[in-house]
Amino acid sequence: MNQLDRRTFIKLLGAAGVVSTTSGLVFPSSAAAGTKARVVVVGGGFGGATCANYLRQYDSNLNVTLIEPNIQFVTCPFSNTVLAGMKSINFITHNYDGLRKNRGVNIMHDTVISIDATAKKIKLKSGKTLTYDRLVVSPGISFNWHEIEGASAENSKIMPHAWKAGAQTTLLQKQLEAMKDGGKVIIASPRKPFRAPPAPYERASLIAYYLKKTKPSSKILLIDSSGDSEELAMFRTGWEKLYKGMIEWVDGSEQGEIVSADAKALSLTGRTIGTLKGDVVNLIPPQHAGEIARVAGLADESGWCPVNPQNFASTLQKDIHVIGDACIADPMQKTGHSANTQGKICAAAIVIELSGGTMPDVTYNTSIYSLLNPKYALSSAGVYRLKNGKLKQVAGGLSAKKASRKTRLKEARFASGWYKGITMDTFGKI
Amino acid sequence: MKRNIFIKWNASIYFLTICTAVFLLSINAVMAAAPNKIKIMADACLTCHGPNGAGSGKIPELKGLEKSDITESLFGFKSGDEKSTIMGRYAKALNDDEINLLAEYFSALDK
Repeated sequence: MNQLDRRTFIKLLGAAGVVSTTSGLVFPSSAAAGTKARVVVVGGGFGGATCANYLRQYDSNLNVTLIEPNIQFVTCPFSNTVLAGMKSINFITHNYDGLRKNRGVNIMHDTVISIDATAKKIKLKSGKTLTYDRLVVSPGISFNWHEIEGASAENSKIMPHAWKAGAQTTLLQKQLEAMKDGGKVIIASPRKPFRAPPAPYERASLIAYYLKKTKPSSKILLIDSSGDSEELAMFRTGWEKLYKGMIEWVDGSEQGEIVSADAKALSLTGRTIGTLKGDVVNLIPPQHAGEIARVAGLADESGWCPVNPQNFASTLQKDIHVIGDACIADPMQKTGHSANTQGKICAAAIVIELSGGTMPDVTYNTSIYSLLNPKYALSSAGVYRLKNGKLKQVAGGLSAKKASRKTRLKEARFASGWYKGITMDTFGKI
Repeated sequence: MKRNIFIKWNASIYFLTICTAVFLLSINAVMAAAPNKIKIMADACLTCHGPNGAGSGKIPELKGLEKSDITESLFGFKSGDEKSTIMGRYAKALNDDEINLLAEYFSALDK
């Protein structure tokens, strides 16, 4: 050891900043913040997975734990392509290996049952307790079953919502497959705000695509809580071209809202629209923030979670951030892309705050692609900036109202590229 | 003699370990980079353009393009001179400085 003694070697190693993480992988220490803060992220969807991923990318010294009950995540984006038989459920199913192996995120498959914001502790279903310096809650949505008489989690096995992808997607797909030609499919969208506002239109489109090929005498009845809009008009133009006479649109806004459901009779009743019966009924119930957000006192009387959009910190509980569908980030729509954006901005804000810095002025991007068939898509985009503490839209809008089929095809191809991009970006695939 | 071989062997191992450490430090630029305005805004592009801006399906790559090509496109999208499906709707949100800095960021990434 006369040429290079052990002590010198260790010093050099230290200067190179090599540290070992709990995942067992070796990551260089970050010059970013130099903290060893513990951040726990609850929920492994587009918001939570992205946030955990970027926390580690922005500061590899952070100890980041993602708590998610499921081993795999099934995405709502592109779940309508599964209903249409275009893609398999495997195509929209993702695991957490990328976050674990490529980003050094600790993954715990468990469920949070309570959050003590004062003691900064969370309790898990397994009996474990975790402490945190910062907590990010990204629980997605839960359903307000009680708002529709006769609707329940149990009855969703007969009238599936398929608004959380997975078993419900497969169930609705099987029902469509089993339906006789000439049957009627009812799709009922919920009172606003809800996850992925244009998605009921995409669903009607892709179910029509499937039925036109396999059961062309069948019909779709769309009870639309959003009422008439510029966006709807663009879909109706597409339906006229692609599925003439197949999709009947019913104004389900305000007085048209569904008030009761009968699972045995497969019927839905609205105040002004009367009772409508289908062969397959896709009842999408009204929504609120995922259960843990409400249990932890993060939601207000609206059922959603108020946040400071600069860092997505809860305005109700200290050192807790809420992102994704559960938070109130108006006018950003509740979409996978919005959740991904919020996950990144929240991660950046946490790292910057922990190192004593100030969050810069940045753009908040979102988009949602809707397929009308595999070669025809429309999109809605939005860019927002903070002005006086609130998000204001500064750019964005819908696809061109009048465009050639070539443009719609280009958007369909971009929709596929977007899906690949966002799932790689979110789940740490490289 | 035996001792000399041991010292050489030992020193080589340490040297290799340090090389590995330096290599790991060099990938630190990708692995962990402190967030600043342009880093955060560039990361927003990756949602569609894929990890490291390498492109995703039919969505084109950004990394390693000439800075002037990126600025030309973004200014074109912003003004509407360059036709697009969605980029025109995004680029209108960017100011001139942001366009220049984003172009510089992506052009500096390895091809």
